Amino acid sequence: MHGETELHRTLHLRSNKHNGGLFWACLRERFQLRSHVRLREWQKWDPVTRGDLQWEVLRDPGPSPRVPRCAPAPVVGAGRPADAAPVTAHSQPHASSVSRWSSRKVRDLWWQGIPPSVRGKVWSLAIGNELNITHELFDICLARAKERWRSFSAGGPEAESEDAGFPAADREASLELIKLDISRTFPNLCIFQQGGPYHDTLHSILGAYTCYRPDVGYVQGMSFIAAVLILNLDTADAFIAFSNLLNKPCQMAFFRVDHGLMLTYFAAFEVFFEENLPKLFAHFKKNNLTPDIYLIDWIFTLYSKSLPLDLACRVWDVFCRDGEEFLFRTALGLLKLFEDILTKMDFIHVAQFLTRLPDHLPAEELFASIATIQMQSRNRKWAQVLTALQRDSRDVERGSPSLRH
Amino acid sequence: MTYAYLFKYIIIGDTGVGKSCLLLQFTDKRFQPVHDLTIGVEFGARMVNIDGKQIKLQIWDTAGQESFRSITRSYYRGAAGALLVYDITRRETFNHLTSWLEDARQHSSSNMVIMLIGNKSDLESRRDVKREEGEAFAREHGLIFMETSAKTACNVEEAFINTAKEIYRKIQQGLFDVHNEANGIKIGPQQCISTSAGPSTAQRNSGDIESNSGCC
Repeated sequence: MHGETELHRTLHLRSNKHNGGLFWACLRERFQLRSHVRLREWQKWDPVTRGDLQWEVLRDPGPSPRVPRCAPAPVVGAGRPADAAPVTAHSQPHASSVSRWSSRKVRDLWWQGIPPSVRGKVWSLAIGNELNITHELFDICLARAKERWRSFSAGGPEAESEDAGFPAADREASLELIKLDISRTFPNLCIFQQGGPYHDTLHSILGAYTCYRPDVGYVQGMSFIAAVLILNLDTADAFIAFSNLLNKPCQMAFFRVDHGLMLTYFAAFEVFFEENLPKLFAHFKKNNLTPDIYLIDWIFTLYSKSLPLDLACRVWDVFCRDGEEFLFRTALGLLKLFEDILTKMDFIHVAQFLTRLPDHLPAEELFASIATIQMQSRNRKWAQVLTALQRDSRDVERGSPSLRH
Repeated sequence: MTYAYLFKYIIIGDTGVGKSCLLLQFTDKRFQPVHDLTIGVEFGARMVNIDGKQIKLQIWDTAGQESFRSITRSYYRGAAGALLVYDITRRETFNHLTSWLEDARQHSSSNMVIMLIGNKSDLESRRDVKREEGEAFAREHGLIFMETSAKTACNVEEAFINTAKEIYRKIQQGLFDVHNEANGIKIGPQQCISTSAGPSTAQRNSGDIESNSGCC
């Protein structure tokens, strides 16, 4: 009962929050309508299952970092044999408590799409807060970012010395770039652009992040991730989810543009590509269609730029459940969905097609296609393949440092 | 549609200078005031006619942020032409040309034709880099130079086509080995290459060429 009340309160708060913006109207139609549909689907589930997820969703989302994380075994494919492989950070669903998420029905709920009204909460919980970021820390980072914007626009950035090692020019470039990119983030939605209701929020989160992680800074693609989180969470919570999400191994590898590690991810992807779609894999090889051509955009923005937003959110749902391997599984699901036409295309047509996917993608067909992708290669799972490849590339590096870019 | 040659182009330069807008104007003849941001690489293609020969341009439009340089570097391989773009209203994009050029020279074939482009020429009132400065930079480094506007389409066509002309000229002079795809040139399917330098034996099977390619 407590859960029900909380849920209503959450729904109420969220709908109030979004009443203000004029631009929200265009979004609301898309999201709220879908939300009702999902809520109806959701209500069809038996109360026990629903209660399980709701309880997890509505529980206090602040696990203390001192409490050991993820004690129970991670969730692996329902109905698959139990996996004896060692659990690594790569394969772990990033949840503070996963025991009750592992039931078949709850897993199905994730797969069918989390109702948008509780999506933000579910994501927050699943992403966790390993970095132990508090709202106060966000306020501090934001205050520092604002100070920089002021000193930057006043033309005196050299006064600061705290971030030695990160030259003033870089920071300036970062601040300038954020400004430039915000207007280029979901331009069609018209809500992040100058004067739009979420312009300042997006600016704040990206600015605060560059103060929180000057070693990473602002990297293009981040604005899309932050924007999707803003659509589902309040500012400070969006910042917490954002920072923790970027801190995952795969996201760190990409946003730090660790080229060697990115290539390892691509190589792992190709192992599963060949296993699942041998014919298309051969066609891609023959035409020099390397995975970086399409994966970079998909992984950097977690599909939010390349898929319709509601579909991207569903990918995020399962990404939150399954971790990074789902991003690569989604890629294979997309390739499989279009396998027949892709096999007939030459290099440029495939490259253009995959870097600009059709506007209307049938959600159910895509998810059905993803479901058929097996993330097992010769009995090895994603994390095992990736770890083995990482080990190999480290050996190569040690043997011949010149091979590194 | 058949073509005599396929040229690979790469568009480089700082973020926000209008690389994707130039490409869109060239391939689709339209301008998008707020273009999506490019992450990784995007692609365009168009057929042009040089000296009565159909030439297919395969254009790689890259991300401009400094952080992505290591990724962009791998795309120079096999490019016959590069459009190096700066924004005439933002001096820092002009100041970064030297480092772009270093990258380009280091990671591409020595014959790659580079066209320097000062974009956004429609924004005369906000001009921050004089035309003469662009010209001087190009002269100093042996580049072709043009000022363009992706918005008004001014010189966009010319920028892409003049680059192709220069590549074609180099082929005719025998400077490009058209059979080595590392140079960014592919001979079109079912083409006889009697007019170009080099032996004309290669075209019997275009499939061979594809499977031999070390780049694209």
